[in-house]
Amino acid sequence: MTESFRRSMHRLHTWFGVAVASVLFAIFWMGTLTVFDAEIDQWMKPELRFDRSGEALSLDDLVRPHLSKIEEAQSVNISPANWRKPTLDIGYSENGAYQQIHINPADGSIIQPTDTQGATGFFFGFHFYLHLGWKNIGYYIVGIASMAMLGLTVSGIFIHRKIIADFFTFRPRKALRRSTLDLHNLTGVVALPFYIIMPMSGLLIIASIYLPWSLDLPHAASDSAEASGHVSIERTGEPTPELVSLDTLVQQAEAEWSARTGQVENADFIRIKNFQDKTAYLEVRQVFPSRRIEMDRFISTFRLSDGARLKSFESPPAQSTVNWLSGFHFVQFEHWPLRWLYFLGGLCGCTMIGSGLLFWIRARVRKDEEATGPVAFVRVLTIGSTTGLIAATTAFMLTNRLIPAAWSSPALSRSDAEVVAFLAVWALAFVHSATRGGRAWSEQSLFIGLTGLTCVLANWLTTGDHIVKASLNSLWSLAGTDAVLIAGAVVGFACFRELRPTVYTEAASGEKLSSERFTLRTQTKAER
Amino acid sequence: MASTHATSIDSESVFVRILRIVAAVGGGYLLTVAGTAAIGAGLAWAAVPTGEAAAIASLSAVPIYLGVIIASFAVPKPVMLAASLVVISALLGLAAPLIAELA
Repeated sequence: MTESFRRSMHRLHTWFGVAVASVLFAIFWMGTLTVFDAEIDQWMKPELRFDRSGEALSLDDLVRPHLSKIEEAQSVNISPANWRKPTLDIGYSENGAYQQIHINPADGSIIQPTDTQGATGFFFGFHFYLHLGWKNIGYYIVGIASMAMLGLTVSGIFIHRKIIADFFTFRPRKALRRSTLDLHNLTGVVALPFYIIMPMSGLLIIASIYLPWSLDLPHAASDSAEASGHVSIERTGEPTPELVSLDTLVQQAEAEWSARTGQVENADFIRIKNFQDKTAYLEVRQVFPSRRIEMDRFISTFRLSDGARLKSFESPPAQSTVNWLSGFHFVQFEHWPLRWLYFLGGLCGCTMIGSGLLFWIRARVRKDEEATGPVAFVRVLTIGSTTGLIAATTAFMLTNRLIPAAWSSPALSRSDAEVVAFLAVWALAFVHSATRGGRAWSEQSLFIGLTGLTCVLANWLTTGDHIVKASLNSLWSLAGTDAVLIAGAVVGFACFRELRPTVYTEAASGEKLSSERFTLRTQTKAER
Repeated sequence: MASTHATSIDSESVFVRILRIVAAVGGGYLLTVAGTAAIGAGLAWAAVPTGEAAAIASLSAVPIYLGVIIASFAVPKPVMLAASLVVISALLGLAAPLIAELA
């Protein structure tokens, strides 16, 4: 490898990093939280914290009473309860609005959860399109950032001469600039395969949006649907005859899949298409298998009037490869240790991005100078998009616990109020970092620590569930969320302590701390 | 030669660096669209089933894009400037309907 190529990669790493790091941090942070989205949902919706030990009723018993009440819908989606989600959910579009019914699978009772987007609604969407749906602009921003992440990772490998040594090098007691680079290198190397496969698989999942011309246009739309295992039948407008048992059809599909793989296979997504029409048919899918990474492997389709099998699909090799990578990204398989590793990998990614930005700033600001011009701008972006985003997240969760469950307003729904709180705190974090300079690091860390602890207290006071009680009652999703909030608060306080504005600093290295040898300083430790 | 190139990269202005990013992101996108479309069409011509052709095309997208990103930072300045001009023209052409809609 020539020196000029290494320098080219250095430029790529530096400039791409500065250009997209803020967006990348948001994607990584929200992706990290999404690893435990169902668990955070249970924290934000106390109604979902019920005893799950009872035997589940049959699908027909749970779903049929509700199907008869649906006035008008093209299709009805049924998502049974699983090892992370306690309710069976029925979803359909009626009069342009998507309706959802949440059912306790043990007794068939309807559960009305707190009105919140929760992690599955807010964090998850933020992760892959930043909630910018207009013209798919959010998808494109995330796509560019993901592609840049791959470029940054590859260029990072090229510019490091001693990648193995980096793995074992962290000198926290050295000058902050040195230790920041050590931290960047260490977190970059420790989860390197994760940083390559996650953006790559993420891009593949949304490839049909990024590359519509190359993936869709050469083939007719119906061909595309057919190739991915779906069946398309025109509605006749005639009313539905008596439907056959849903349980029987689902069991047929599961038995067929199990015979193919030699292990127990379960359906996790059922869709009634052409609902309320003579041609109604049932699509039984295994979107996220619990014991396999590859997703969306099987789809079985049955006619609902007589139960006849219309199609049985198993994904072919190239599609299976895409499905495996997608399944690896979605991490819905049943494996707690691996799930925690994903979480840690995500946190490592956040640390790597944040420390990279901090190093970029430190490399351009002299020890005794205040950042100005573009460097000051990047610092505002960095603080707002790192500590500011984390602060906004804790504010989002705290708002969820502080607003009464029955709260309603004609101007703003409860779930929208939570999002407004998130956006307000995030916007204020940018303003705060612009006005407070380097001190914003520590002050926002303190905010994170305080709101993190307040979240745990507010959850205890409003629901009566605290971490000890949750642990004793085996409510691990609740106990885990509380534990992570407490750990986050501790890290916040530690960062506040380390980064807080220092009035006095040592005038000469090696000298003992004494008031005579200090010079007045207002910069933070982070800026030194 | 190598050291001259390195020096030229070191002395590049912010404007040239931005052009490199444009060439990398925009050029990478255009070449990836063209490359995956060609692969998809080629596979369809070779009677590969539709779903498999689309899957292979999407799997090939990331390596193509990544290759262009790396190349755009490694090529000498004149080549990159010419490429970025082509890219910007093509992107403006593609964005014209959107701009017209906004106007």
